[in-house]
Amino acid sequence: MNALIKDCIKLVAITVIAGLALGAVYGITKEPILAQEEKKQMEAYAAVFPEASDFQEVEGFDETKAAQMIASYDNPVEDHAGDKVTAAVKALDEGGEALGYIFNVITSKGYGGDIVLTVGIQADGTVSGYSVLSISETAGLGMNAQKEEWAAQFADKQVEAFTVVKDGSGSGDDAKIDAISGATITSEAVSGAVNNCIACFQSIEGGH
Amino acid sequence: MKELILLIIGSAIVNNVVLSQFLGLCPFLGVSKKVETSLGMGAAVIFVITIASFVTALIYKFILVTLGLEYLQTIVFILVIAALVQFVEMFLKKSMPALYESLGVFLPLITTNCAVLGVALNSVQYGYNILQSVVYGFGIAFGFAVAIVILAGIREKIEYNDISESWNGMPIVLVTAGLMSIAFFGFSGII
Amino acid sequence: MKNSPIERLLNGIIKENPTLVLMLGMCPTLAVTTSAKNGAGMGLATTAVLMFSNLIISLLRNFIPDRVRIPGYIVIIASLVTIVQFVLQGYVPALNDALGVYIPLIVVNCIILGRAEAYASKNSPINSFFDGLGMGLGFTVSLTILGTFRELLGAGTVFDITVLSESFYTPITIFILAPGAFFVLSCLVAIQNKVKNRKAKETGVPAPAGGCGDCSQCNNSMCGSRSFFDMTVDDKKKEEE
Repeated sequence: MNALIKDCIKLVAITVIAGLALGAVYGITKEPILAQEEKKQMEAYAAVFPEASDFQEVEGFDETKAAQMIASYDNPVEDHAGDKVTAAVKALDEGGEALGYIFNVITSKGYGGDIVLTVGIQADGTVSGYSVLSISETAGLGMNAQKEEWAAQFADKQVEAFTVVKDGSGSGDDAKIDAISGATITSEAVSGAVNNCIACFQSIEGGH
Repeated sequence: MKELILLIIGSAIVNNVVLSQFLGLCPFLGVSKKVETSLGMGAAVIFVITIASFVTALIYKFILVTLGLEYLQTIVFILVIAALVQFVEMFLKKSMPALYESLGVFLPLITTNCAVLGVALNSVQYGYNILQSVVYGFGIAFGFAVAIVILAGIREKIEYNDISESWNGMPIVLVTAGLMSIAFFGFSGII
Repeated sequence: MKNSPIERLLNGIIKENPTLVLMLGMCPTLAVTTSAKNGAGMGLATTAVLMFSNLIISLLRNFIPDRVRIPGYIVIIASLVTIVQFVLQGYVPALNDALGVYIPLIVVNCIILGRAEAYASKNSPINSFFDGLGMGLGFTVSLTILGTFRELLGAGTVFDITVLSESFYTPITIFILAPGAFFVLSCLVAIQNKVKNRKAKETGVPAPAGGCGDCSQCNNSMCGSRSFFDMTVDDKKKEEE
């Protein structure tokens, strides 16, 4: 019996030391991890608004209000009422003029968990493009949403909302997006999320 | 309710745990020689994963998150799962000998089945609540059971085929699994 | 030469290559080899864990009581895996995103516990460290090869550099999807069988039965066939006696 207790104490000792070591490493790497996330975010901002020189948070932006707005918005891509817009940022040029808005949006409608996008919308309502912050779709299919060629379908389009088509007719029509072949779910998730950002933009511009 | 049913279908068939995520491959390839044993393995996996996803979800929500120790999740989950399997085994042996007879031999095999840990980690990553975690765990395990029973059925037939020496054994089973994986791709349109 | 650091290194990479010869750690092998980069990244992450888990377990081999050694090893390995995960998040976030849940799943990779049991718990720290390094590099090499094949066939690129231009080669996307993983691996095992069978014919010794795929029959590692807490199994036997 004594031996058993001794064994257990040793095991507990190992566990405690391991836990403490982990805590220490966590403390050390916390800063770099946060810094990386920040950097990634800034890179995403710069990717959707390359000409902007400064970014400023939109005053009075409220996540819950945005969520309510999205819930009531009639998104042509179905089932996107649960998307969350988590941040709204103004992109400013060198003189401090607003070039447009940037939104961070999370959608759970992807195939492999949440997709987080940064979407840029110019002051006149033209979508300037999106950048993927986090995605875990199927490699070779849904992952192509990260690729330049596909993402370009959204860039520089001034539309009310996007819809996804599977018949390849998207290139002729600004509001239509050709689905990634074999990854309709991902295509719809991204398009729906972008639509929500457009809706958000309109409600901010409309003064709500 | 509709959400939960979709979650089960999604995790069991569309995102099949072995055929598209490669979790739990070892038992999938190792214990699929006979339909009967594969049924036993499948049942044991359903049993363990459902309980494990409930327990890990509880621990994550009420202990790790409350204490701000989310970063310990991997180490806590694996220990909890290991202990849990042990308890389940002892409990079954004492109180339900009939069930133990049929599942007992498979239980120790499950601890190092990466599907159990994978389910727990995925539930956290997808931000599921406790009910969703349990349903998701059940769905994943059910998908595993379906896949392993189908594979066992095919392997029983393959036994009688004349396969060239190099391809005999594991390679032909892997090809079968690959073809099953293609077949399961067909489900991806349903949700 | 036997049991020296260099011998260990070569043993892991060539003679007992964990993926191609021992057939260990199949889950990550299939799941993350969608591209050469991911394969190499996963391999290196595993190598880091393997080196240090072997080193620490070897250092503690007289301290950890035999009966609770498996849980002890698991705690050590899980901590190392979490540390690797932090480091990746902090310094190589792109790789962390690409590998996702498979990073924490290194914990249940049979190679690591297998080496702890089979080697580190019985040998000196330095040799164990190099054993881990060798095994890890062997794993990395085979994952990179698999990843290169799949990426080349499935996307026409290698390490993200276009090799087969789309103008004359239509990528066979299925190779980077799940079924492709099974097919590529089956070819690999078939080749391995061929070599084994030929050797068996030359030497007259029958080839050993298939690798880790036959988990139910394998006793040499923690491939899921062993009871997790060996102590309870032993204790049960004692109780019964």
